[in-house]
Amino acid sequence: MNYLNDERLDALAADYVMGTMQGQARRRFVRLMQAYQKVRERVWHWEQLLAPMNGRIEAQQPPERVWQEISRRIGFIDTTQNAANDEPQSKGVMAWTGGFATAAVLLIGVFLMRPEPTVAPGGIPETMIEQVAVFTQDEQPLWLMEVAGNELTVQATNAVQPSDEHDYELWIVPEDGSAPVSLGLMPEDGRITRTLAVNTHDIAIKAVAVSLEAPGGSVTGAPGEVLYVTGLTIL
Amino acid sequence: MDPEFQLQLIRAVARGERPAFEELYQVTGPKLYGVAMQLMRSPERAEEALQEAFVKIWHNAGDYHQGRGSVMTWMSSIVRYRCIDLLRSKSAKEDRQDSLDEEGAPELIAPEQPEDPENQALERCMETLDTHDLQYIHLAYYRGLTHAEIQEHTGTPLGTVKSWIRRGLQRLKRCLEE
Repeated sequence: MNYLNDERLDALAADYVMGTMQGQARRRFVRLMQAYQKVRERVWHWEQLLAPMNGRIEAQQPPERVWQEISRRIGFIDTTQNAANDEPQSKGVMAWTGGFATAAVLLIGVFLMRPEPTVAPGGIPETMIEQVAVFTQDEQPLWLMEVAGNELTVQATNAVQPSDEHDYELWIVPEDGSAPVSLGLMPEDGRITRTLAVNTHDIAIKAVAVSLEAPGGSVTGAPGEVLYVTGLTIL
Repeated sequence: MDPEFQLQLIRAVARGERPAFEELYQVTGPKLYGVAMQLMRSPERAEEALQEAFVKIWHNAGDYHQGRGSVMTWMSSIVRYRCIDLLRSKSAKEDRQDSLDEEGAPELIAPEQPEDPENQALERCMETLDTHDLQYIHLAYYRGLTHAEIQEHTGTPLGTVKSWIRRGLQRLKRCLEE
């Protein structure tokens, strides 16, 4: 592959790290990073070479509200009230709720094959799991999602492609056609557990979905490009 | 800033320890906000970028490994990429043209020589570059300009902008790797 010629790769990695690479070229390069360790390592090398340039930038105290907002977005503080106020705008819900039957068929099999059926440290006993969903692509499971009480656990499989340029965000699509509600970012590997700011038991859920977002998640409150949709099975 | 302490913090954050995340924010937030302000030139947009970067850092702390450089290098890269994404969005481009058109835009780069040995090596290598190469590298790195924006800003042909930045970076790399 042309891209992987050493000299060319080095120049592209430098362009990427500098930020001068943009648009389609940047997206193509991110895909190469996902696919090849050699490309990632070259990017990391440039990041380290250029990082001392930040030494010339003066530190500035960010306003207190920045930490408050970070805490709210990752669920450190009770955001039930805020979540209601920030309800995302409806965006083509009907367009992306179709086609989750196949995933639902796969659900039980994947659930039964879970590698870690025991209690995670500080986690929820499996017997309490009440809702479960699996996202798949080409019959390959990507994420297993479980809800126990107000705790959400999501396990990423090795089939998930990590990305520095995008994040994956989880949404519930209410049955009544109202706007999708974000349940936060999906892990790109490993497993995360967090407290839900919304009570998924009080909402009639038509589907759950994963969207592709800029790093940090949706900035509009509505999902971006919806990649995967599946049903939420009540156990 | 103590890299070893930051390493302990990021490992604790990867285990989901919230106090460690708050501590990490306290010790790195001001520097990273400076990085975001340098690129975004707007407190609101810098705050937005910093928030989104820290949400990503919380969720991806487990991805950090020492092959990525220091914790601060890894975190700075996340902040820079988020800023660059925001700068490339259409609305930001319009705001930015206004800021580029203004004379005497605020200069946020500290004038004094940094004491860190890595910074000193960089300063020494920067001095070996041609003035144009250095100027264009600064416009790209500190202002987040694309090749085309540097062309517009300086009136230099696009091919020249690209080749000067590329030449400057390769010289910088050779000098830093010596």
